[in-house]
Amino acid sequence: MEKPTYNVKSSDDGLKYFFDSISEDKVVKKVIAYLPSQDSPELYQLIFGDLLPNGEIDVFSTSNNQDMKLVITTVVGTLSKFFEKYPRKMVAFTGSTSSRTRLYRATIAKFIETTELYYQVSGILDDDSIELFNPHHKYYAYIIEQTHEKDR
Amino acid sequence: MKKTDKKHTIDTSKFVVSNDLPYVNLESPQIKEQIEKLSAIIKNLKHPLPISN
Repeated sequence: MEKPTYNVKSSDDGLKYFFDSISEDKVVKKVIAYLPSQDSPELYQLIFGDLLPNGEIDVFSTSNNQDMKLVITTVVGTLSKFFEKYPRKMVAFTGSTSSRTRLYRATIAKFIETTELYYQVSGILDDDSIELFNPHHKYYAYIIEQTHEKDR
Repeated sequence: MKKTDKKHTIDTSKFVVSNDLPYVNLESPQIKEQIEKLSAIIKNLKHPLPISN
């Protein structure tokens, strides 16, 4: 079974994605950007938030639009598109707040359990070490790489 | 979901490349702060990237 996403518009370089989070009450414009990291040529940083009318991204926003599952599936779908363009790169991200980083841990755990992702997810621990994602451990950032399974 | 169940995939058929995209400012203070926060984490890592090699 395939999980649906929102309609997404992306840039040709696969680094920017836009979609509308839609409920009966409101429409919230969302943006995901993959920014090259200054720290490693192999690394991109994932930025996700609400697109404001002035073009800025609000990474702290909580839309409460009752569509978190669909929003998160859409964000994960952008990873798939990103890795189509940049299969050897890595993506790092952290929550804009500690509670959001915890939410990402729960979300990653759920996705790994239920979805064929073709990614290796690593978590960065408080002692600045990295390990393969363990749903029972507390992380403050994550790094995702594409595995080669998709090539089969 | 049981381990024997078939896993889901993500349907990305609703993704389209477009030249008609909204303006986005990737240099706002919030974005810079987020980038610097993550950058500090990466710089402090005990293990060099990439991880899988």
